[in-house]
Amino acid sequence: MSLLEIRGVTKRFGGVVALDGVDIEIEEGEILGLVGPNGSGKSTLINVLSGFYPADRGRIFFAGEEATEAPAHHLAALGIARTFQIPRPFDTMTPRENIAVSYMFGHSRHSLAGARDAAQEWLDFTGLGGVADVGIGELTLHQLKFLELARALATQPSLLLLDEVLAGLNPSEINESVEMIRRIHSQGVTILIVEHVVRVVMALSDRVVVLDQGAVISQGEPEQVMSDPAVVTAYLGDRGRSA
Amino acid sequence: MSSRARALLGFLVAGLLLAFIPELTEAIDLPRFYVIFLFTVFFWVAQASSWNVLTGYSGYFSFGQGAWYGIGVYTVAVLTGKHGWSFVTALPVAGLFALVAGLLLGVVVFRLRRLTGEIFALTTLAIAFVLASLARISPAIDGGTGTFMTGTPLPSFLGEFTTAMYRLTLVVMLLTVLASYLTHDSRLGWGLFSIRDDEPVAGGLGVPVFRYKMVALGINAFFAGLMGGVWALQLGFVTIDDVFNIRVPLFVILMTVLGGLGHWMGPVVGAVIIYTLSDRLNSAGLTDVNQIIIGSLLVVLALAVKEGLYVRLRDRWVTTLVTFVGVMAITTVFDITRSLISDFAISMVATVLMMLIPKGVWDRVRGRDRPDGGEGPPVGMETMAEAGK
Amino acid sequence: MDLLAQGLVTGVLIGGLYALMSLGVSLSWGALKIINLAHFSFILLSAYLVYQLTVSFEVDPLLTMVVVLPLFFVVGSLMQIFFHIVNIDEFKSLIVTFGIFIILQSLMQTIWSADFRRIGSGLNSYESGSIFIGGIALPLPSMMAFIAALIIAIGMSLLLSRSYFGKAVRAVAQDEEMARAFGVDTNRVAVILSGLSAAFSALAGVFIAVGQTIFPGLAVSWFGVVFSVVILGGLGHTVGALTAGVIVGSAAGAAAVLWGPLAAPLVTFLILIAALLFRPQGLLTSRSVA
Repeated sequence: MSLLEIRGVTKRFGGVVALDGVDIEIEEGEILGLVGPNGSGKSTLINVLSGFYPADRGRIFFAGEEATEAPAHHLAALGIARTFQIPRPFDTMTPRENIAVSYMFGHSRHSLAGARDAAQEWLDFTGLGGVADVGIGELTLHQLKFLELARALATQPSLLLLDEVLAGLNPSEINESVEMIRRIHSQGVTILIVEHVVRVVMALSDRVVVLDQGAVISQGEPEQVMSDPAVVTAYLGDRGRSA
Repeated sequence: MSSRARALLGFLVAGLLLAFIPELTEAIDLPRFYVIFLFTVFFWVAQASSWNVLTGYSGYFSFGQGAWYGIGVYTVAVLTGKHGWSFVTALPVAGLFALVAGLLLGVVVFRLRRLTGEIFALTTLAIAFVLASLARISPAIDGGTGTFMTGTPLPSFLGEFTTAMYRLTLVVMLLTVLASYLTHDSRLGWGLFSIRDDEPVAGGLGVPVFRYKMVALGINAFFAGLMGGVWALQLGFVTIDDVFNIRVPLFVILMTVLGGLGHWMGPVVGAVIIYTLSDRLNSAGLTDVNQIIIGSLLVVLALAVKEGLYVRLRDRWVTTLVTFVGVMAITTVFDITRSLISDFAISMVATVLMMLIPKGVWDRVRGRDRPDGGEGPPVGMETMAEAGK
Repeated sequence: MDLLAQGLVTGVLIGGLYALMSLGVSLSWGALKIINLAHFSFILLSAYLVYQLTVSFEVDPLLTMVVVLPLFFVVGSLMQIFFHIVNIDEFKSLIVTFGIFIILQSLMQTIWSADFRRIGSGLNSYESGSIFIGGIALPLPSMMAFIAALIIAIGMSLLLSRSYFGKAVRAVAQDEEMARAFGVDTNRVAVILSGLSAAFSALAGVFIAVGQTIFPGLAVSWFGVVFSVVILGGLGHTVGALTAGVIVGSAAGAAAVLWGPLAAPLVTFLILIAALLFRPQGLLTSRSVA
């Protein structure tokens, strides 16, 4: 049984069809890459999966249970966590407090006492120990992205949805982030990673799914998918074929 | 001893100290006005604190404080004045009715698909007006004629009227501030702060946003109504215009913004400062200037001292203490004004002025070496640090 | 039945005044993302100024528009410049404009006291004037306000859809950063729009001074009506505001006839609540608020 099963999910915004009958399965313990040109629906899919808004049609199953219309905090309780492409930390709190809140309310609920100490674990894991108690305004983009990760991890999820975690980072930061994702994976977390940086997706993912204009146009092993002519066309247009 | 236990002890001590002020003022022959002044401050502390639990903690701006207060006042007035209930039985009902009204509002508004802060704010504004209209129209409630409260007997153990009012407001105020403090320093509180900062993200992390917002609204409405019920006694003759006007919603906003939204001490500090100023200006005959100053304060503070005065007072506590005690000593020793309250007001103004000195100037003068001119960790830090102990 | 018909007609015309009163708040909120409570005191202050100028200089009250409208345009523009300097956001704007409202209210009360003020019929020939159509009276002041609202609503609608300025305003309303990236001088647009909004509020004040007695408490009494019209009409939609004004005005007018004068504000607020809960984007718009 797959950890996450998406069947026929469709989402419209006014006249725009963002997701068009998407079928995806994510196996437990794998890293699934989700790629596609701009506007293909990747972020929309993450939003639907994390409960930001519901799908118009289709069904979603998590660990065998129906999770289609579930509100966000219910999905968190089930064990789904996500990061945001543009980090959204709680800006009146310190990094430590951000993580502590996440720890208190996440997949396994905890009380206030001890949340501060528990947060240390994820501060250390993401290397944010040095900035644990400063204002959010003092963090760099890279640190904010790691805070996103730390906060998501503190909910102790079984499925982590990473939404363009590498956007805006320089090459060395990207390498650090990839290392971080590998370490997270080795702890047994299933990961769905949405990314533009193709080499990273190829290197990290067990399987890759390609979206274009809301529909799945290819899935499979990374090598196989990226040489699929349909995928090349989607990214480069018809000129790609004659190139 | 954990910080929570220390705080609760502090509440107990404060309560005991305050409890005997009426007897004390009689003993040292101070005018009874001081007791009245104090219990009016208690009224505002309770209103502002209850408002802060909703607006300050969760970020949902409410214009509706008048609604809960009004329900509280009218419940007591109608039950005692029109149906002969005793005050002691009517009072909890006042809180209860206000609570129910608040929860009804919450159940409808918080369940809306596309709720924004502005929609919530306007809905609370509308509710207050609707209640006022309904009360005006329905003779069972008011019918436009007003309701008499005098002649409602109070239990004798409370003492004569002023002392009774003092004790009642003291108890309700302490309960309200206690609720505000306990919420602040709890899982509920942190959930509310996360809702304030980013509600969709908070929900995604597992915070039960609907439930927590209902609790915050419930706390707000209940204590506002309860204190309103007590205040019906003070009003004596209850009329629509007197109860459902802009004063209560305006002042709680002002007091909490001044003292600091989001920290339980903010409304306490704000209520003391604003009411003292307002009272002194009124007694000096400057009623219109009063409002102008208040309005200007609101504008200046919302823009310049975003975190509120309490945080400043706490960070600059040495200066606070020295200025306040110093000016107070000077005014009392040299008998500059004839009233202790006026002395207090002047010392307070002096202290507040010290607090208005901008961070940049302050740090430079004190030779403090802060790389970004910041004032240390955000407000919640001390709570977090203590919570583990 | 005649009484009801009269009530409805009066209500429809007053709806025009309501729309005029609401334009300022609607445009500020829709385009500038500022909930500007100061507009309520602008309307009243304008009314007081019209009163004072008329009475002191013994001129036709409508003539005072020449002074009052430009004055408030400047005030509105300055206010926007101030907001820009202090970097206002939506939440703060509520508190700060509330403070400005309080300050202006107290100033008005200090200057003109709580007494009722009315331009006497000697100087104000419009107040008691009415046009009669088939036994139904159309009071002159509301008639004028209605026509003004109609002209402005249509005019603004054309301006917003056809002119460069209008397109700039709509761009800023949808995405300010984007607009700036495309070379729109968003500050200038905001300042001009803010000035226009204040001028519209001032115009409403003119008709109020001409049509009724004024006193400080009026401003607060307008909250319900204005917000009902603003929400129902859709933020920033001028024709919507006129339609909503007519709906609210006639509903309140009918209510007053059927259930007494106290029913009118109740009905207004109930409309507001219904609008907030069920159709916050307004009746005529498909886009949602925010």
